[in-house]
Amino acid sequence: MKVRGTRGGILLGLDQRDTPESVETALSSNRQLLEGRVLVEVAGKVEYPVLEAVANRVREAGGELVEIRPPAAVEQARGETVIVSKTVRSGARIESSGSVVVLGDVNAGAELVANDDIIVLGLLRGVAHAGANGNEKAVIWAQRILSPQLRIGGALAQAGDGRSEGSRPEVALLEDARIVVRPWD
Amino acid sequence: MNANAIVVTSGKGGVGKTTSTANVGVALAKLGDRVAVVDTDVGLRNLDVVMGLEGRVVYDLIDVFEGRCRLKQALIRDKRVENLYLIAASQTKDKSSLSEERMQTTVRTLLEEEDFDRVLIDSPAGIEKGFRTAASAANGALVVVNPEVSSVRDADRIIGLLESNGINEVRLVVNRLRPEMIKRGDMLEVDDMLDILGVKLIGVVPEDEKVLVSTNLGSPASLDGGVRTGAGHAFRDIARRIHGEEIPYPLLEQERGPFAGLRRLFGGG
Repeated sequence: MKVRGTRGGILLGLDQRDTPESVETALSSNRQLLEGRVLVEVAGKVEYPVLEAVANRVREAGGELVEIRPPAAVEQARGETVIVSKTVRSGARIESSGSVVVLGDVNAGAELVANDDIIVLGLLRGVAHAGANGNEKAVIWAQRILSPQLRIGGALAQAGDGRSEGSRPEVALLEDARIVVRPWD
Repeated sequence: MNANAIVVTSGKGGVGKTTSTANVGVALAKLGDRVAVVDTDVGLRNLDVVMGLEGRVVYDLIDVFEGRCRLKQALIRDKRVENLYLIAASQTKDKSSLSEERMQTTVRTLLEEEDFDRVLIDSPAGIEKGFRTAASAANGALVVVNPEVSSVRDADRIIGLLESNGINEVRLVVNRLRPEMIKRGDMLEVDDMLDILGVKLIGVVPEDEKVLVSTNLGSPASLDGGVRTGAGHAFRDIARRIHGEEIPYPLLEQERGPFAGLRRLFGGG
């Protein structure tokens, strides 16, 4: 649980890791926070008993639970998506402040750089760098990922020998600051 | 092909641009086209050598560009084939007068005033000024590629540059194919190259030592047909395909085998 002061009152951020017990522990030591207006943000799945625990604590403290809402969308300025409607050939470099979508193959020797995602409807044989401005949620999706090198945010992965020969689409994403490539379904 | 000004190019050196230009030029002339082959590899000219016309070069492309001669004077007629002419590159003169504009004017004059049906432009290797000059006057291209990874990579780059220059009639010539190596899995397959490059095939030319011999003799292999599976014949097939004829690929059928079509249909191959 995260606690934050806002203009509308105290904001409690709940997510799937919270339990009634953890919420009670956290709130009982901060009783004075709950004496005024309280807002709750629910990010992901949160069990009803957790909400009930929050509501009980607020009532006990004499406060008022005014709102339960999904997290305010953290709207980042999104760059423009660059759509390339043909094969990207060797020597070409496509850059985007947003995402790059290629309606074709990306051949060896080509380079894609995007601040957000990279989506290739064909085969990706060139170098791809998603999340180039540090966006660690960026992904690289392709019909097959055959690149010698992938980058997401600050992480770098080189092609290993154990590359799957499957024909399913693949997605590369960051997990614990490492790039993993897995079948997409 | 609809194009009448065709640049022969590859990016990578040594894959057979000049040999292909000479042989396709000869074969087109034998089909009745009035053909001019133009060597733009200034400084390293050798199209005249391959065609056996070295001794007859008086004026070259740079002389035309710099106004030292009229275009007609630089056209060397091949005595073995009717309607075949060469404009040689200069081996010694400064190539600073190479310009896209002069190249375009020259090619336009060849087609419109000298009544040539096709102009074949032999490009230098690389992607620098020489290549750009050669390509600037073309409305079609033959990209020569060898069945090896680096050649395919360079061809891909070249195709991208041609496309961005508005040359859309790009055809692939696979040169120096060695079917027995492909059977052993030691060489890239033609179908794999076509998958990667995404352009139409117009010729598959086998590795053929006769080409080496004929190149040294200055007598292009396509002058006499030779065996059906030889290089000379393959170059003649290219000329006929440029004319729009549908001709099977004997080497490709060999490579694919009788059931390849079925295998590909079921996702194999």
